[in-house]
Amino acid sequence: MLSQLIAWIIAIATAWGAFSIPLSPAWANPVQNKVQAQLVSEVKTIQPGTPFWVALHFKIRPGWHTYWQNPGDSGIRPTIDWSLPTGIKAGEIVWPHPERLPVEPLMNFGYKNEVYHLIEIVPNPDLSNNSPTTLRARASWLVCEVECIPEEATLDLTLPVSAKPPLPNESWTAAFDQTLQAVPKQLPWTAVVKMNAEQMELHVDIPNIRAGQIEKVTFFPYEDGVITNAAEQKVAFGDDGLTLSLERGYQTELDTLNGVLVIQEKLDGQTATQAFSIQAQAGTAAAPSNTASAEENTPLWQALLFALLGGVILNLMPCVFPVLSLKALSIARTAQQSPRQARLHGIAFSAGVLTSFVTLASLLIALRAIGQQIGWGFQLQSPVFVTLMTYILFAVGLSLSGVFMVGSSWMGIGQGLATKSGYTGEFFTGVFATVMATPCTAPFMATAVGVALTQSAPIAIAIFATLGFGLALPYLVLSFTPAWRRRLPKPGAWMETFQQLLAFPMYAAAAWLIWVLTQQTGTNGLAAALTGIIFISFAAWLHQKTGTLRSFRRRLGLLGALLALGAAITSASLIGSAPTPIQVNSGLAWEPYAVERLANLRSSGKPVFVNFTASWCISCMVNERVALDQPEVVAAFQEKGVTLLKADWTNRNSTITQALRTFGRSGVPLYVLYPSVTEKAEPIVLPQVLTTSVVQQALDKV
Amino acid sequence: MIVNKNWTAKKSLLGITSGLMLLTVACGSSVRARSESPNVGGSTPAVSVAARPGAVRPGAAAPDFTGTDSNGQTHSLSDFKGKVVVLEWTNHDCPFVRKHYGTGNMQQLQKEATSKGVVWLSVVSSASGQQGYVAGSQANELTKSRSAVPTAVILDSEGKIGRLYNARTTPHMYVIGQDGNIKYMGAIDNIPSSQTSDVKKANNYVRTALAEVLNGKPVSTSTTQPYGCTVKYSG
Repeated sequence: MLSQLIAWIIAIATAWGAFSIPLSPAWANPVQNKVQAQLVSEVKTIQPGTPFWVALHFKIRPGWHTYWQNPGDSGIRPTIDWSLPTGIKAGEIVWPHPERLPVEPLMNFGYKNEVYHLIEIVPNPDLSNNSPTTLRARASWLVCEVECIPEEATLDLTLPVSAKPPLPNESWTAAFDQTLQAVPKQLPWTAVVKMNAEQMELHVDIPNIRAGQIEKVTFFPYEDGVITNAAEQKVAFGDDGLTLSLERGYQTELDTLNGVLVIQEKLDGQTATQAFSIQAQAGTAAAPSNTASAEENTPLWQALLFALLGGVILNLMPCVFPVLSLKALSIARTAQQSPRQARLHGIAFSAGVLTSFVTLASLLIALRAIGQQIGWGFQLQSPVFVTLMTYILFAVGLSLSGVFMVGSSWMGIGQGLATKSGYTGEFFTGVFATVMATPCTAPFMATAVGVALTQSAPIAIAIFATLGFGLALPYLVLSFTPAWRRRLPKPGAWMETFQQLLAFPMYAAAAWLIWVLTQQTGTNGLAAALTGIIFISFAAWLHQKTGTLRSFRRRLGLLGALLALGAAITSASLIGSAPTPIQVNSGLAWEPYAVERLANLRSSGKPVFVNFTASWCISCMVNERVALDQPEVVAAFQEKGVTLLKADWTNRNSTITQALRTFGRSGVPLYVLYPSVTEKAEPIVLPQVLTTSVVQQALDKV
Repeated sequence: MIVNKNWTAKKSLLGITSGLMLLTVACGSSVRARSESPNVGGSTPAVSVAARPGAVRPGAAAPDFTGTDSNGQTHSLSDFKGKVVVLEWTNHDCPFVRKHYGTGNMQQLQKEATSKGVVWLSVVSSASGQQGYVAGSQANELTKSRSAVPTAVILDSEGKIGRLYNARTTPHMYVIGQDGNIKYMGAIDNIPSSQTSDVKKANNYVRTALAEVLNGKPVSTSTTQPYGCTVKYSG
């Protein structure tokens, strides 16, 4: 009896001893040192042949810091000298991404407060599993506040060896998960770098990027002298990704940029930091083309000259030429006009053009000021705008062809010119000419506009005003020089033919815009635009037909025409919200999210996992790669028979916005696991930062 | 009559067109947000040097400077034209500097260099009140007690020369050839530690570079990442 009791006690004590040894490794360096160091393991036992992670854990006194693999301008990274029993090997330190530690005027890269340096331990398959093994690490590091102190410690970690699969050490699981999150992953996009003597531009192709989500982008090089560590890193966002400007260091021969890119993304309620390892090949361009540096070198007078020339040449562009040439010819008709009247007409027209250009410039500047990254031509990025311009160009073409006569007085062909109200008419013709000019660009215009957008508001407006002046110049000159006016061909029947002929450049411009639209929205956009054009043609014909009828019918006809126009415009706005196709992940079959489908699945008792994501959400993408696409998670999903729904919020549709709101969220990512109805009814919401263990644990509850 | 009717229709359609154009310009464009935004948390631009830091690189001309030494004498780099010059950034309290002075390594290097006609300038860029700052008399005392033999100890408490050369650590070594170009810049040797036992084992870059420069040979290693304490510039 007693011996049995003793045997039990011994057994329990041994078991307790075996399991408690790795639980809390002793801290080295008692409190008076700046860093408390310990060696911790993610597992409680070693299985021969199964690699596992240990970590050199630093708790750093507040205000002090230690260093990353590239310490930056000064400092030294921690090193480990291992004493390992035979049959066990240790890898190199795997570093979580650092932060920038400014030390005016220099910059270091390292860690504050706490850091886990990961090391992979590889035990041989033929390791004997009788006795516990001790891993000994002699770690030395530099810890600095302003002054630096080299410190070192000898750290031991003893773990039993067992043939069974290693048990995870729960007290450290969260720390290891978090650290693995912070370790750079391979960049899933292409990165290119353009270099000149002083600058580098790192461009990462991230399709559908939403810059508003991204708070900060930082680059940490692996080597010294690649960048000027302390220099500011400016990030710019474009259609297809982001561009980070880096100041070069003293290394002159570089063909790749190697380092870590850290992106901080704003999620609902928290900021997620993603670290990527980058090897960007150097592009061949000597000077980065997107920076302002090239344009800053253009002196102002040159920019203004280009603007003037660009404006003049704009007169010849197919969007503008028909309008303005007919306008010019109409002057010849006005023989009864006094020279003063002619001049005033010219000035009114120029005023209209100038006002429109200045308004456009102010709008551009205002949009930039509130944070939108745009350049000239931005309007052509919007399918809605492109469609509307197509309609306008087409309508003007119809007017020139004679289908309806509303536009005739704009060209000055009508009788309105001789009247006093002709001045306001001229003004609006100027506005109209500008509207027509917006889809077209002219040579020289691009440089001028490029310079304008880098300058302060008054200079930018001045450049745009000069552009408008250039556009108005030929007409203005004509209105001021009677001699030239007399040289213009005399009006006659030929004018009508000429007018009808000029409809065709208009149709050509409309056709080009439809091509642009098809590029943007595909065949759906094409169908919508063509339908809109049919509506416009109908509206035009209806308007013309009812023009000769009595008032009531006329009004009805006008109403019908406007309704048709409305339908055309509605179809234009439909183009803007074309849904993007959903990508199918390898290994997982995602169905598109739909409320009815979810309800069906739940009522049939199947567990459902809903992944609320967007193609511009970097954390979503990282979660998919790091957790959802991992084989163990895929297997777990299949084992539990979970149906996978993907709610793609790339274009922010309202169904998904509603669904997000029911969970109290206003953004992505959101991961919801609905258990099978036979068990708990409450859906399980997973955290915004996923790991395989988090997902697997959630699935265990299903 | 006809004119007026044409007018109304024309005006309304013009109004609609202009309005629509401006509206779509404002709302409909699929613009991307946020132009350039600085990333570094609000602090002033960190590098404020007379010459750009990238300009100090091996092969480039060493920027001229004028400094006052511990005896109050002024020296300019141009004074030593035609000679090989070594610049040694130092901070006597820094553990890494102490490693080289404590073992006599730095003094030995200085002796070898100056005996061959090389000008050795120790530069102290620590700001007043910071670690390593010394007044002239204190600097002379340290030179004597450590048996150091630099040609002069330049006191650069405003950090002008340090920033000019982008000196980052103590020690940070520069070897300037007879032609006035930088031949070597970087660490003193290849073991970045504060352990005195590492001095003998290490490959001393300065010794190698000096030997190559004095023999007219091209320098094999012209730049390395310097190690040591951060230079304590004035904030």
